[in-house]
Amino acid sequence: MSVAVRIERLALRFPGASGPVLAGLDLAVAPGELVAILGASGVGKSTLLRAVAGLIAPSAGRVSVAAAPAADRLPVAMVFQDARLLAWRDAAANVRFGLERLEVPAAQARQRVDDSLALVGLTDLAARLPRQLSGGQRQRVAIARALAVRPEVLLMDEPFGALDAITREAMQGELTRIRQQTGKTILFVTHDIEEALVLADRVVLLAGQPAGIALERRVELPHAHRREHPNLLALAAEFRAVLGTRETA
Amino acid sequence: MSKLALPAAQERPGHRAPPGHPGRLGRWGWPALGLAIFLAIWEAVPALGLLPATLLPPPSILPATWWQEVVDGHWLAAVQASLSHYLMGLAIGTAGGVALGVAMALSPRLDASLSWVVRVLRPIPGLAWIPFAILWFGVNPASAVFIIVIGVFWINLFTAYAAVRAVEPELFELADAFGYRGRMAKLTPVILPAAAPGILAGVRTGLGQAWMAVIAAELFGVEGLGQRMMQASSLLATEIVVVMMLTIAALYGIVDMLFVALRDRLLRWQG
Repeated sequence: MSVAVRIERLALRFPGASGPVLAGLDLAVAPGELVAILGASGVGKSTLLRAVAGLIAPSAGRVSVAAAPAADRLPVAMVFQDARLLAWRDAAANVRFGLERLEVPAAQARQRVDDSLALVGLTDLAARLPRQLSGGQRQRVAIARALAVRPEVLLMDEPFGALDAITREAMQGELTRIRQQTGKTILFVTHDIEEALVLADRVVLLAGQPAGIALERRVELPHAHRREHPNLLALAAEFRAVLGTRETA
Repeated sequence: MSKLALPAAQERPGHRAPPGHPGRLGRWGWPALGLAIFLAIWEAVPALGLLPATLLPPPSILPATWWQEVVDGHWLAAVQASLSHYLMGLAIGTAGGVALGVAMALSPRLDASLSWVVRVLRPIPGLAWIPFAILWFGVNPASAVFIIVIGVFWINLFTAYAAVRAVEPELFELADAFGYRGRMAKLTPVILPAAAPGILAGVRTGLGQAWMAVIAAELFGVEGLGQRMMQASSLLATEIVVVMMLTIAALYGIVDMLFVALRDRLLRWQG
């Protein structure tokens, strides 16, 4: 089986902490797969994502991303919970942010910005500043910014966590559509069991101290009607039970 | 209109404008009235003999005094000299202060290395450097520029330092995530724009501080508005002193207004 992301015996430690937050973690993500990393707050989900992004170094083990070397793309790109748009740049310039670092030629960069904004449905708002956008629109710009650098793997750290329930549901639908169009491999961190099950091909629950994989399930349900599917409720109950047991323990 | 509807607020008898509202005189009326009262009191004090006109020249003679200074060529020469000292000192002091402040904020080693030096030098007022300015540069424009540089350097250093230190760590992480690894790579795309509001606030404070330093530096004999004030006061021509004082106020007002327009343009993203 070809692998887009391989995590082997990974251990991560916060600076100054006595013990590791994650230890002995093994995970392989297939190309085009969406794996949701589920877990309680502080369990180390976001830390894991940062290790895959290369933002923090593992204290043991290794993370590898299968990406053909290319000067005009990044192997991974990250979408943060708080959008993190640069307030002084309009939407298009925010999307261009990563391309400027890659020194993508201007005409090609413009095309990629236009394509990415079109993919998230924000072509008409390209000239708007972040303060002129809603929470959902800001998060779409953040997704477009990540897609513009043509990553092999998209890392999403609770990207819809700060949105209201209606917008969050709409954004989940948007992500499913974008994924179908781009075929991107996605690692998606969330603490919301339903969100994980609605979006993912596979859900991995992190729990314990140090955290490891406590439960892993493949979600083989049609995307179109997942939210109402009875099997989804059963899976959610299974995750909730493990999560509750671990939290109590 | 319904019988129950209240009359408009301004039509009600005994109505007072709400706090924060300028009232009937409007936006310009109150400031103009305040200025008129101030000028009237000023005019009245020497006119009533409360103070001799040599100690407090009345405002009514100032336009003619100013025009005479213009005709004699003193006014324009003094303004040109002071402006050249001001702009040069401001540019060097601002650039130096901002550059070192940003560098110290980004480099813990540089910050630690200079912390005691800064503590020793910072409390020394700019004017205390006048003896050294004269010894090092002589009584000439360079010494005036030096005093102005000292006057604005520290303000800009500390505000730039604080502004960069206040940049959200999340933005550094964002830059790292998109390949801007290292402080220099982040400087122009992220750090300076994010710190710009704070840095520009320091630059604006420096604009006023630099005018104080200009006049102080010129009082010891370098050509400019300060020197002309000293000449005039030694001859008891206090009306010329007042004309020069008002010239400084006007120049500062113009410079500040232009800067605010530039700042608002640069920071229009703040809304």
